[in-house]
Amino acid sequence: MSQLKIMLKVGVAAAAIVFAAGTQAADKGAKRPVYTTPPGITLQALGRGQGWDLGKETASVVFRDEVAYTDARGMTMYTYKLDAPGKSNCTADCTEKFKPVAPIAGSVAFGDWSIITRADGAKQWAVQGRPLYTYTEDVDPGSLAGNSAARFGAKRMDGSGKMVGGGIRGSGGRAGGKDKPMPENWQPALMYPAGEKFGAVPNGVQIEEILESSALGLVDHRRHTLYVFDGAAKDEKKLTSAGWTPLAAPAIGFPIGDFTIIARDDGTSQWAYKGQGLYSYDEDQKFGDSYGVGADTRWKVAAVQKHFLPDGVKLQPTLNQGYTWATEAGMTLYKRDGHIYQSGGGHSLHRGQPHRPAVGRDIGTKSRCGDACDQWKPFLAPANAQPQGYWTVYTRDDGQKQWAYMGYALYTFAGDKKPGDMLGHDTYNMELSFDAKKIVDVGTPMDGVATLVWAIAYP
Amino acid sequence: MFRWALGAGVAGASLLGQAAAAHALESRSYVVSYFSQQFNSRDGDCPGGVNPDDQAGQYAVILQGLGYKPDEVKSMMSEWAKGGDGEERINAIVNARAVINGQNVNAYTHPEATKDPGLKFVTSKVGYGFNLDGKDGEVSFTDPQTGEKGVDNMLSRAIGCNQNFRGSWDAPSAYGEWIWVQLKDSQPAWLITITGEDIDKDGPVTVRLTRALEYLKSNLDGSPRHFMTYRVDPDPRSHNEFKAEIKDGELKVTEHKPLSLLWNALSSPVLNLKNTHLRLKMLKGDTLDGLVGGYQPWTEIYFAFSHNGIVGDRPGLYYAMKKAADADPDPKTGMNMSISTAYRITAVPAFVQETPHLRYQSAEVK
Repeated sequence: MSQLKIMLKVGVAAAAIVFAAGTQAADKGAKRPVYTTPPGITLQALGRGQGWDLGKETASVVFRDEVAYTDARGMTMYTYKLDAPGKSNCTADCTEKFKPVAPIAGSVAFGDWSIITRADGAKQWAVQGRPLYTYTEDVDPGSLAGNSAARFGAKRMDGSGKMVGGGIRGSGGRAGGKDKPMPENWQPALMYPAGEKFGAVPNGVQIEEILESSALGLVDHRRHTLYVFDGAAKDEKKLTSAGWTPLAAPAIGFPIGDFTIIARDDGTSQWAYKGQGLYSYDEDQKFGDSYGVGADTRWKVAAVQKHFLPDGVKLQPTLNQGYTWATEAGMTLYKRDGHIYQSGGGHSLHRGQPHRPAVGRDIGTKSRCGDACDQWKPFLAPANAQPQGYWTVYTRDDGQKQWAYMGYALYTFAGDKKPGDMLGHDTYNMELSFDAKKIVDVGTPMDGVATLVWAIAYP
Repeated sequence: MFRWALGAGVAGASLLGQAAAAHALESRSYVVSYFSQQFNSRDGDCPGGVNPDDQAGQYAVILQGLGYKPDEVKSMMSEWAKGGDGEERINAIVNARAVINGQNVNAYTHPEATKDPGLKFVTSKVGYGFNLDGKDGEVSFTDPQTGEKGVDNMLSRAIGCNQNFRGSWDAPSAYGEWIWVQLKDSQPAWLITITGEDIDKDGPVTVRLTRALEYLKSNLDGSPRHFMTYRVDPDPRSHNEFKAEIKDGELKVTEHKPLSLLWNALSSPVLNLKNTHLRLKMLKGDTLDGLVGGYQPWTEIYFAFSHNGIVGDRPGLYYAMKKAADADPDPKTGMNMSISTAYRITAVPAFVQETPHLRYQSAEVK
């Protein structure tokens, strides 16, 4: 920072804010990122963000309005307004409906996450001091206050792999149904929107989930990703001429929380986060883009929190699809998805086919690829792998564990010969029955002719 | 032996004479600006009129067939017309109208479990396309542009009596117009590159059909923008090269190999043609206009139709194409799995980069 004089400086971060460079107590000194969730705690989009309704409203875009902290099965977690910080007041009859979320063996508190001891001696997870519970009325991941597509007639797989609900799928089954109200004094434990839990931010700056970078990060007034530079100050100055725009700060301004104002050599002022100047990248053209990450490895998304990433997985840039998940060796990871007809969407375009975790769970590890299955190798997880963040673990028929991202089991493709190849992308298998007496079942509801597709797995 | 000199950068559509070791070759590149099935609808070519196509009308007929009383059907269609949950509910009933072993199943996955409505076929003798099998049979057309007899285009015969497929050279079908508007902004564009010693003169050329990484770039009014730059997708599943001949300003391929272009799940995931025929008139302003035809797996065409109510009676189209299919008999069942077809194709000049480079070299998220 020798050439970027710090004009105003504030104190340390609020306890709620953890940064990607931090360490996690559970790792016993190992340098690892602090993630949004501990092992055994997952993230699920609520409601239609699960993709349960294949109708027009979700055909092109699956709205991820709310993302909840969820247990290992993906069931929504709640907090109780009558609890005291670090102490559960939901006991006796209260626990008939609301079950305390117990940590898995070996869990360790870190960041926002703490482990409290209940009156009966049992352990319970808490986030920001608020004890966490699941609700027995919920039926599947994405349920909120007992409301679920499954309850309205859709046949869906719950978090434990059991089919629930029935009848016709989608909102068509809603006729005669009515949303249940949220039980009094209870609220979902939301990871996103981030709200005020990360402290105050300057005008125009927001905290958004930037899936392309698998993080909760800072964005500017246009909702464009903001970056920090992790290299030498002389390099930062040089690189700013190559597509990087400093986030302008008022000439007369005041620090806010972790945000300070630094004076630039040209006399302008720039916002900094935890002492590092904030920039946008000119190649980013819309919300979610984070192409600056790959422009130079020293540029990082200004992340408030990172989502969990298993060992052996990385984000990999592509020519026209943004970033995909890939193995450490650079081999593209794929998901098996149900085809969805999407007028106005675009399967071949970046993020053209939205994540629909409910569909991913429907299909599970049954990729139904027939003779081609020897081309698709499951991306295996260690025997002791735990679900965490958006990553879950399926058990295959042979007992092996397989990583899944947002509900979709992941695979590599034997046709890919070198890192970066994605020759299995957009491989469709249509299951059209020519037999008047044979029922085709691809494991997930279909609008038109039943079709499964192999598609690149992106964050 | 020529060398694609475009690899190192951006090549002009008409500005470059590409140097090779032995011959001076030039290349002109284009981006496809329209692509859809070609019809030649005329009054009286569907005996007794066209097939009923209105989706609401279709649904009403289907619901009656399922045993609902007229007043129930009226009420249900009123509910359907309002959209939202009501529309979804009726759609679900219609979609799951096929019955197997007493169980309601998806009618579009199981069309054989629905009744064949017996859609009418086009009876006209004039239609666009190519003589693919070298024969002139009862169901062949005569092409109105070339006068070629024995034209095979059984797809247009099978589905051409449905209202939204009615169209001509000057007035594309409603379906064709609709699907192109959807496709052009939601799929990587297709590219055409013609290479020869002098493309302005008669003689042999090579024509290359590939897919771009970018979608078609348009003007504000939706028209295709000329001389935009596109990068060729390195995915070999969309790399095609044909020998061709230019004569009197028209290019025709002279080798009829298969064609494969990754497409769009809105129409078909892949355009697969066998016995590919292509003719392109090279028009003023460096644009191309013509037809590409061949035998196409009809189930891949049905794929799109099965998802889209505007095409008409979807199981009906399944039966129509199955009956009209005229190539690739299945060795076990004898059922023809491909159908002759012809697509209108137009293109505007473009710059093409053959070997794109990754701009973003690495991502570190840990």
